[in-house]
Amino acid sequence: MGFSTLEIGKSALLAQRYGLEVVSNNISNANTEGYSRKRADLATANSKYEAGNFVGTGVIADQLKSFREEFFDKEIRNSITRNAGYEADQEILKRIEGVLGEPSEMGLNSLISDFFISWDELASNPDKSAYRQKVISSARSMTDKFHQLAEGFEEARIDVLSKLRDNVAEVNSLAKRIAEINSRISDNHSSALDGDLNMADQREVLIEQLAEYGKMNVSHNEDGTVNVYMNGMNLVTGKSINELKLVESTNGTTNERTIGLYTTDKQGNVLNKINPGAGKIEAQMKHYNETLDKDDTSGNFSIAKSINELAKEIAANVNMASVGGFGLNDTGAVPPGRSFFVPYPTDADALSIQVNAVILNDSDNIPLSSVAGESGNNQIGLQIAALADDINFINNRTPGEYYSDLLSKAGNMLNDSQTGLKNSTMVLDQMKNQRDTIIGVNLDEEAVNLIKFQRSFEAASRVVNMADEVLGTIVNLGR
Amino acid sequence: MRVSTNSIYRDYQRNLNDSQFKVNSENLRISSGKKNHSIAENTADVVEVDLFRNKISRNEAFLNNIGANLDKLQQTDTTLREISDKMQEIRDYVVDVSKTSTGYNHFAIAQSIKGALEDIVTLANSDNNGAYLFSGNMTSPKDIKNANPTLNNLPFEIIQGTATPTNPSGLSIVYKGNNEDINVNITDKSQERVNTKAEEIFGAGGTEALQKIIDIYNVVAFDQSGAQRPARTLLNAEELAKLNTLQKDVADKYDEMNILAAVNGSKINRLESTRNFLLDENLRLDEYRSIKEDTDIAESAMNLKREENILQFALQVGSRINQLNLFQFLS
Repeated sequence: MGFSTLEIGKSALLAQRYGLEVVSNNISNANTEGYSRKRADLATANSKYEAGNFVGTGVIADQLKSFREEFFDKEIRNSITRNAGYEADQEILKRIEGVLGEPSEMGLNSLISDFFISWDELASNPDKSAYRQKVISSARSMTDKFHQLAEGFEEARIDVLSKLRDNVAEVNSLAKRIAEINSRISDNHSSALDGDLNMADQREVLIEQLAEYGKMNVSHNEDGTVNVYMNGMNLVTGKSINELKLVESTNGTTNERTIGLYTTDKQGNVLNKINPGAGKIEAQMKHYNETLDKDDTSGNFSIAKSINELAKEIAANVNMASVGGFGLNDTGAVPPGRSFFVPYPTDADALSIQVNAVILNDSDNIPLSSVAGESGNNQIGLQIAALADDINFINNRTPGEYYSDLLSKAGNMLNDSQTGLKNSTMVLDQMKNQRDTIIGVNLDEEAVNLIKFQRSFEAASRVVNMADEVLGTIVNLGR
Repeated sequence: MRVSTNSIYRDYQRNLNDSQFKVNSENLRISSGKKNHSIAENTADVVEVDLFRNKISRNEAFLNNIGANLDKLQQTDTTLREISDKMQEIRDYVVDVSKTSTGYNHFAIAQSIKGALEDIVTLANSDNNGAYLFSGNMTSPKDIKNANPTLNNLPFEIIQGTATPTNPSGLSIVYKGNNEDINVNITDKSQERVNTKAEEIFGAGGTEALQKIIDIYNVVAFDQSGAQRPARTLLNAEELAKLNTLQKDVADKYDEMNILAAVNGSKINRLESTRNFLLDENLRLDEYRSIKEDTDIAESAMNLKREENILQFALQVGSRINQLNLFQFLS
């Protein structure tokens, strides 16, 4: 009896100590991202038959249970993808808002309006040089704003490309680390259960990080490894990965530069085009290929292209009127063909539009009159001023309405991304909270478990002590 | 339901962020006086404010146009009335000459008529801030060609030519401007012609009425032989008939000029009523703009107080979250 009691005490000591270790590990990882709480499952040791009865032989630490829930993991990955997509959208659209400088009293719309107003004023005071200077000054303010916008959008586009490259590199790095964990899990699968569970936690963290960049699906293999797919395309297959690569291409006809995401083989050769489905990379590619692309041909909203079109139409319409006009000092019956904006006759765009140097250097050269030698002739000025109200100026809209439209589209896109981000953050937090109700560590609960295992350990110690005393009594019986 | 330690902090942090964001937003609204600080906050309002502001600026430009042109029209009105007075003066001289009394020195009267003509020409050359009033759209001196026999760059000029039997004084009138309109925008949908043209005032070629005055001068100053009319000699019946016809022509032009002054006056009235309309519209637009753009300080102050209270309680809850833990009670 004495020896088995000692063994029972020993098994209890070991089991409670194991329980204490698991609880301690839970407490120490209470704030670890992606950690799922573990529980030491204790089981009664096999009974032995003694003196006609089955007698218990103590306790064993049966298994370490993880509370990982694949359903929540999957939903959280989807939420992370949506969230990251909205976040990337918001970041880029905020940048666009900053470039536009709206809402403001000195936005492009005000400057375009001021430009046409200055023609109105000049038409009303055709012989006053102050109003000629005002036309030049307002035109320069407007063209400067166009340049600032075009440069701002191009800089934003370059930054998006740089971020895309970083993100693709990060995806490849994460995929590599997941494949490494897969490899370690596969190698240790049958022997080290605890190691497997912690590595699975780490792997899930990595997959969740990966989910920021695209729509991720995960399938589990029998050897404990996982396959990871980006929108259905293999990214990690067990221990191997397909690296991603960004490929930039230029359309020979339109000169449009676009970027695509491709999988590659081991030698780095491009294999298949891949659509991330959602997330950061897709959002960034969309803005690179559409919103910020001045040569966009997708037919979707492109702010850079819209601003370019506006600059082009303003230059073309003003020039059409101005080439038929005469400056103050022009003579003869044939107009000098002086365009107000350059380049001319090639199309101007937001970056290239400039006030003609001939006009810039001498405001008398502003072609205001339809006939030479008539200082009070304001026909060309009236024609240009009337462009501000021309409902067919661009896309069946006046210049002001057109700009308001694109401002409204940009505003609504930003609003959508902010609302989407707010909602998806809430959903993500709720999903994480729900998952945490199962896998998360509750310090109070762990404190109770700590007390429970500590007290059981103390009790087990007493059993060993008692067995020792009993054995001592037996040993000393003959003395 | 189990509550994990992490989820308590996660919820708390999100709510704290939300609360701080709201306090910051209200602070921003109050300090800047603007309701929206992003095109995403209330896109429709932001866009509408932009359009309102442009419309207000445009109306202000029209108001400036109207101001400048009202000044021009008022000067035109004054000048037309002065020209009209001078023509009436000439008519009075003609009446005096037509009387059968011999007490008049016709040549002296003729000099007064010539003086009145010179006054009319001077008035016709009036300018507003350097732009001639009655020379069509050739408003600048450099538009006016000065070539023999003219001596200056003024639109109207009396030329002293060689005497002829039909024109014993040798005087003639040259008009060097044109008869084009000058229109200006007074609203985004309407224009107004702001000049009175030479041919409207003085008839064909911009000189017809002035030429008639020269004809009157010739009849009064010279006899049928072309010699200077001696003092106290009477005009014969043929001369009186001619003078009568010329006087009627001048009277017709005088009437037309009064009509022209009335038309000019109606333009002044129209511009003034348009100015009042634009001022009213701008007041209204500015009120709409303010509603859409400016912070309602009372509302924002209340919102700020509410959000500050929420934030304060949130911070208090934060300190309690930290305190409530079983480990606090274990010795």
